[in-house]
Amino acid sequence: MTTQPIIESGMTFGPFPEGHCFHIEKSEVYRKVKVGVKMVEFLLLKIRDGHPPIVWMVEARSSTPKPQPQPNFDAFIDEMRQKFTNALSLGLAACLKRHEDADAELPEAFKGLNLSVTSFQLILVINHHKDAWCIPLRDALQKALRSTIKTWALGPAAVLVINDGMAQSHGLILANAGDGV
Amino acid sequence: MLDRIELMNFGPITEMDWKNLGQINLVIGANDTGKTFLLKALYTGIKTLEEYKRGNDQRTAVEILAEKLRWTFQAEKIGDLVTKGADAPLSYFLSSDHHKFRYSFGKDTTKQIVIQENHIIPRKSNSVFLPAKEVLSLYNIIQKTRDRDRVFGFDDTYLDLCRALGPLPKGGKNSLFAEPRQNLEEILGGKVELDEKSGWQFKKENQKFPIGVTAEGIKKIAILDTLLGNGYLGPDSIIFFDEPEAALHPSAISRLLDIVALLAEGGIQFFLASHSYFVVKKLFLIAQEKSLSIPVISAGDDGCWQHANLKKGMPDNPIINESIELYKKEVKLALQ
Repeated sequence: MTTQPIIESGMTFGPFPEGHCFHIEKSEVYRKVKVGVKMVEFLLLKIRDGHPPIVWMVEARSSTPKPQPQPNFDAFIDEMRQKFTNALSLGLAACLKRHEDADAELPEAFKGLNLSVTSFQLILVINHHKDAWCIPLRDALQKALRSTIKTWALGPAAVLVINDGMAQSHGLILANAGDGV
Repeated sequence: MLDRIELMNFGPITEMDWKNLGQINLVIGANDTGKTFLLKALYTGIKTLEEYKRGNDQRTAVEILAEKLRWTFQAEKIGDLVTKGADAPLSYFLSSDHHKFRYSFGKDTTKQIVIQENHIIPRKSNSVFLPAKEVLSLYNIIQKTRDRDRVFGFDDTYLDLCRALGPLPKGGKNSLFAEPRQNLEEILGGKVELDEKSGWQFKKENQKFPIGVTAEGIKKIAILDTLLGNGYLGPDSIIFFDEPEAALHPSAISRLLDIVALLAEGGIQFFLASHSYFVVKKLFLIAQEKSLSIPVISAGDDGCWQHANLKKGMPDNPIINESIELYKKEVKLALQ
């Protein structure tokens, strides 16, 4: 069994194995708190042999401002920062059943997570973004998220900015499914 | 100002034609692709033209050039500079303000160079090569090994720079460079001075420090400041700057390149060779901000030279490609 694919920003994410994807942006948990709370698209649980589980928090974009100092760019980075910190908070709050709808809609695999050892990966996927442009954008986003990375003891590569090609090679989007499916 | 360079069979450079040169020009590429070699090749040509017919110097252009090539590249015979295995002789062409200078020689040449064209108007300016390593702490050793002992070791780029740093008759203050000098001295937090008894010293407020205990980056910037201050460099000078990033913090690289841009506006032409992403990126931003043509030439593994211009965008080049590869490895590690 797999979940329905998630179509965002001209990219088709998934389908993923049943019970491993939480479409947080369309969830009841989020709907009830969404005013003033920006959110990523979905959470994807990856279970790896011999390693702690990892939750990918994925935000999709079709374009981004150039990585140069300008109000537009700073605003974009701040918006992404808010989305990822909110996703981390709401994802954890849902796992801890602090919201009454969480128990009903959170996949079983998420409910059984040992949160003290679970890793979190914050991934911004930008469609048609050049490889070289991902690096300064990741650096800027990582800097903006530094306090979150430190306080939650996230890994040194917890923040990634990738394009559709990289997302495809790591199984986030299916081959030949990248263009506005 | 140099506007075109064409080299054939010159050491590692088998074929290169760089046209439409700008006030700032950048050479990038991996190690051993000939970046420094290219800068030195340009330097020998331009220094020949600057020394030719200067003052009472009676040497012919061929004599100056042969000497410059030998002491800059430290070759036993200058024919060794011809690309190994090349069928054709070494060929060198440059154009300065649309005036041409062309020479060639074969692999058996010891001194005899054929200057086929020299329409360059004698240059009154002084150009300089700034090597990756600073020279202040080696000042006396360089002068001793070269001027007294006449042995190879430090090439002419080092010796010429030491001579240029020495006290020169003051030609009056050059207000053209007042702003870049002030900016340089802000980065330095002081200045270097040549003391007859103690040698080079770094002076900060009222304290003096021996040059040996001064940071590499400080010495490097101090060299440029001194050359502007002693009047050696003028508006028509050309600065060949090898690895400007060496020993400098990224923020200092950025500030130094802002100064390079100011000096370029004042007339100095720059040829920079770099490995640094910061240098490429900062020059790209300068090109965008000032709408300035900054030609880039990149040495590929196959010996072919790729042309680009930072005004039109960041070039496809080994520095950026390597940073992308490293980033992809990081993504793979994080997402595996």
